[in-house]
Amino acid sequence: MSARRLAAVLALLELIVAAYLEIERARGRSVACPIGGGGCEAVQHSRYSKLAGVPLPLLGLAGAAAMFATTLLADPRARTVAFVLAVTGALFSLYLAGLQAFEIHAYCAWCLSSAVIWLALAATTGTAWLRAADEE
Amino acid sequence: MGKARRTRQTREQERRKARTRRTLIATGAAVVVVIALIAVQQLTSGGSSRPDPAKLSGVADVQAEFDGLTEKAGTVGPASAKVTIVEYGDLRCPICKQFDNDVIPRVISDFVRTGKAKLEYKTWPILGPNSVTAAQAAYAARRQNALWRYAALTYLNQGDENDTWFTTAIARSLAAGVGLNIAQFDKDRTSSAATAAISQVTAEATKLALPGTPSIRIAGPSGTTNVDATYDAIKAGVEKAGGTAG
Repeated sequence: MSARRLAAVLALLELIVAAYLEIERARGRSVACPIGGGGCEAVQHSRYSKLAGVPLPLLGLAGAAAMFATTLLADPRARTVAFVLAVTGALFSLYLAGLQAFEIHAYCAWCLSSAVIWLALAATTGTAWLRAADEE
Repeated sequence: MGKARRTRQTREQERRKARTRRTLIATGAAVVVVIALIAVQQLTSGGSSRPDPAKLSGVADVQAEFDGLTEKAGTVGPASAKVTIVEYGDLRCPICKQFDNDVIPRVISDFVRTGKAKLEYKTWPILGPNSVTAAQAAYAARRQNALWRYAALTYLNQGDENDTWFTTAIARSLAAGVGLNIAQFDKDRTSSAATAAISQVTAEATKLALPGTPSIRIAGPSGTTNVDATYDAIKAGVEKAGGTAG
């Protein structure tokens, strides 16, 4: 599987996670929290769950959709955008994981898996981008 | 031969340099965007909000909401009502607050005041040790037949759920706000019976596999069902449990 195709699969996975979180948020429900002992609710309703009034799951959904779209294009500029987007997502997810650990003192397994996916996306899009740059 | 190798080496070096530069620019762009996102989030997430025990709000609203209703064993409404609406709530949970503000007043006026149903509150602390502290206070309020009013006033003054805002000062101030006997309240709050009552509700909620707070169960002659914490779902549930649906 090419790095770009792997990135597309990861982006789709992230899209599913973000969509689930956003749907449950929009319906006013708490997400299922199989691991972490109810930490999801604390994270979901913490004061860090929004960015300038925009719920983070919605932002994640937009990011994952943009990510998925860029992985579908073979264009070199799309590859650059994909890499920048993935690194942004990965760094921001790490910051959110830090908030869970040091500010909220509760973990949300969904948010942490999202962080792992973004890190994997940064690695795969980075590989695809550098490989393409070498071939030019 | 040597010249060609040097040229190849130079070209390879240049390519490597360009590659490093590009990576740095792209990563740098991402870092700048993330710093901006973090800054915006930190600025807009606001400071922690803690209620001030000296400045409670909504004391009169709570009085009006439950005016004329009597409470017994955590239940408001006529004892003769065939249907019982049970809420499993956590006083520190923000969705419970929202539910108490938006749905409960309509439930009281449409079902409790009309004699169709009675309303029971069970304190199920799911948000950590500070929620247990709040549940102990709720138990003490229940002992003085003022659990619903105490819960309503707590929700109106709820602090940030990441904060340990449910302090003894707040617990007492809320108790005074609904007119409780403070000495008795303190005695009940710290009693082993309070802990036992909380464990019992927690065990019950776990056995019923309730998904979280608020969870609503409606019991009546036609059986018991779990319903969503919305007005429409409760309305349908009351009709079904009372055997008056369709």
